[in-house]
Amino acid sequence: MLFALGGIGFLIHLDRSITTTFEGRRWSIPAQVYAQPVELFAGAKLNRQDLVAELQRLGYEDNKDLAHPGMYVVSDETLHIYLRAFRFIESSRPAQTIQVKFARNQISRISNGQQEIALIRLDPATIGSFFESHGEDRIILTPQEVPTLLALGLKAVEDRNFDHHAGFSIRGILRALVVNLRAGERQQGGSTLTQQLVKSYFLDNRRTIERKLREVGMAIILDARFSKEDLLTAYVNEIFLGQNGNRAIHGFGLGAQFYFNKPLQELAPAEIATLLAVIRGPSYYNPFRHPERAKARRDRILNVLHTDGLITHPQLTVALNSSIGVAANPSSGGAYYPAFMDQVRAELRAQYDAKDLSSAGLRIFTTIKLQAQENAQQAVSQTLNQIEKERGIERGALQAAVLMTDSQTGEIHALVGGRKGRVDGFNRALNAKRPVGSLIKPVVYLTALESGKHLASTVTDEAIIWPIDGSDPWRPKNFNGQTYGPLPLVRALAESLNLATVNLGREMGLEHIANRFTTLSGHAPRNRYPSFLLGAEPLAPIEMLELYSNFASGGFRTPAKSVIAVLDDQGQPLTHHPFSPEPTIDYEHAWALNRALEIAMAKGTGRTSPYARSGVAGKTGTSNDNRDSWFAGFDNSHLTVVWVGRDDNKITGLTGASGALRLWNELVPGIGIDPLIHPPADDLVEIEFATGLRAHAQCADVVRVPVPNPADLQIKPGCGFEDSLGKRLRRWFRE
Amino acid sequence: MPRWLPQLLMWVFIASLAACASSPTTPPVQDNTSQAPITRDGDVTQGQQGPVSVDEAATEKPASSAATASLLASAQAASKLSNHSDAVNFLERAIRIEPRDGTLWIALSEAHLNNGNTSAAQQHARKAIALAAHHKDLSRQAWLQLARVYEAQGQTTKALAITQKFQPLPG
Repeated sequence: MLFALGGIGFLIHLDRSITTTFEGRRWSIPAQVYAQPVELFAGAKLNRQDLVAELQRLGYEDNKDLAHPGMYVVSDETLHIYLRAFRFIESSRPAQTIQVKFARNQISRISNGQQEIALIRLDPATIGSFFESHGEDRIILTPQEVPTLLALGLKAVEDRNFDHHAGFSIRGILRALVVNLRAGERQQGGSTLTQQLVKSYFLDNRRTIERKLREVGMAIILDARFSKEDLLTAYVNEIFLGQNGNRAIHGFGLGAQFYFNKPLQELAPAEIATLLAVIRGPSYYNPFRHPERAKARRDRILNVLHTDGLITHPQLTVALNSSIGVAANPSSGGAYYPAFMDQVRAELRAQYDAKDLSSAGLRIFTTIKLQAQENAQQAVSQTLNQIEKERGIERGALQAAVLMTDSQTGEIHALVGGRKGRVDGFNRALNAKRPVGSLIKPVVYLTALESGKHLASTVTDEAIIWPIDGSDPWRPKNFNGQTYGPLPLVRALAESLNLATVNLGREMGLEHIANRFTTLSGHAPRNRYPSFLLGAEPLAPIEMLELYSNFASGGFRTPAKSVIAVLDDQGQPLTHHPFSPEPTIDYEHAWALNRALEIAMAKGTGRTSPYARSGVAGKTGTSNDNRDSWFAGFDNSHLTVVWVGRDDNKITGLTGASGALRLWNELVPGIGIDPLIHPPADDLVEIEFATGLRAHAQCADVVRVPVPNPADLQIKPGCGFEDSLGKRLRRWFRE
Repeated sequence: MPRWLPQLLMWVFIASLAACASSPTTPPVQDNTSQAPITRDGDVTQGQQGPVSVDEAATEKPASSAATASLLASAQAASKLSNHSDAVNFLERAIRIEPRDGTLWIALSEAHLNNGNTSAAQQHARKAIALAAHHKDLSRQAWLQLARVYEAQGQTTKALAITQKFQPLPG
């Protein structure tokens, strides 16, 4: 009697444990995070090779049959694509075929065979998911989404009697015993799928009788409480299939992405067989590390599938002759772009807690562009390696951060937090606050422009002694120790002259400049001393990006953003993250400052860049003793901020030009330059770059800058404005 | 110097001015009241049947404006059905393709206004004003959009000042 009561109590306890866990896990769906989809339209600057690369990144297969979604083929110069169905933010798109033609390195025409298409987009890449702290990641599938071959194959390989037993099978144990004795190795397990499911939830691998009894008891309970379809689907979504760093790959949905970089529904029989092979030992049969072993087991499984009539003989032949075929770069579906995901997480923190993100099945649409991201990460790795080698710096000592945004919307296209992009670590782009050096100077010059000065106004580059209360006076110096006397604002900024900047800053007032900085950056300076004027102010790269967003956008503080929208698991919108450009600078002052920054590239500290005269604006910066190297640059489309330095804050010997600007130079080929658009030319006046005097190209080295009243400018002697053709014509008219 | 030479030079100069006057120095304005084709991308929105073919006139437009015109049309259609959130999404998608098109920012401001987000509507109207600085008609439209936002925000004095300065053209 006591024994029976104890048994019942034990079963009740097991029932509560396993049922709660089963129900909880069944509905615990990590949020899926998507990149920006690639837009296709006539005129898009995308050639055929680029588009094929994007398709391959999405796991599209080059297949002339074009038999199902997820395939493409090039035929007669036309790229045929069978697009996957996808539920976007505002609409759903069914699977469909399109034909894309190209001319002059861009898309020339898109059609669907009957009609021309003005605009269509690829399905977006899944770049990550937020999973719970136990580290298990999964892509949840419904019963309808489980391929038939997988469902039947699972039963054929792992549990033939699944549909008939009550969670536990003595026949299965005996069969496994016979098979393993004959093979001389453990080819088959005796556990049912239900037992394996129970074990995957929370039992360990101890081979004790007590653990086995609990496993059997729980399996029986699950089998009694839930349908076979529920149990099989739970197994498909739950079974452990591999490890990638701190992320455990659970379920066939994620397994397909991880091993083959495509959705489960697109897997060929050989690929399904590979996943089935992995179940028995994800490490032992890891197809990346042990391809021969994995292939041998896969081939045995293929024969089982054929024997059971699940695949035909031709399918078997094709499958056996195929290589193991795993993706070259395993997609973890999660930790792929951890630095960018940090920013996503930070933006969502206010509205979603960790539990929402990791278990509510949210769909998060982000701004990242994978080509830009990959390009940036590669540029960081290669450039740092080169610099270290050239300068004899110990390998791995240098670090970098890169942020790239759309200059008008602030949407982040690429975010690199360190030289090793795929590894979770310190995110320098968001968290490394370093002195910014000369990158702060545009704030000083903007303040001067807004106070009535213009780019030809004179500023004096001479020694200055600035008294500091309670301290020795401050005696700043130029980088080379020299002084240059009176010169125009545009030259002082372009050549990044410290003394001119400090003299100008003193004239404008430190407080005034600090207030301006506060408006532009969204926070007050941490340094309230005059050394702030020369960038003794620690900012993280993302803070620098937000400062320069005011200039790149033409006068709007445009916060960097990584999230577009969040939908629930049913596709209903939860939150939308709009563009938020806040006006901060009047149009004419923004234009004048940007013109000065363009000249800073062409004739100033940016001039060593091969793109210096390509219609880009930018500023280099170097902190004291060359510890931090900075560059911020923008064209008509993108704003980019780059930082290079060392985590231990030791001297690198790099200037802004030799470090960060050099890295930016490596980024450009991957994204191109969209030259800045200028207002009509009659807004610009030619002045001598060295002196600010009115001049023209025939008599001086000139730059063209906006000046409110050109007639007030002094004319450079010998420039001969009085003999201009216009004046002579007017004189002849009068005669 | 012969006396006829300056006069000849004068006529050459006038003739060249006349030639230049016919060539625009600024990019064409995106006119949001033009006959934009009701094109949509291949994505099917709920309740809609399938892609509609491109209007022949669209082929003469700059390539990207056919794409953004289709999104503008989709946004207008969504607005008519009071799906203002969808309208915002369509227009943001268009701006990602053409971030400096003032017409799109005006439309986005209107979509936010319809959606009750006057703060975003004001920001986007101001953005359109800045982008339209050298396009007279577009600049006027952008200022009038800002006036509509001020009106919705109850800032009637500001709204009136703008409307009086940038009266809508008759017709």
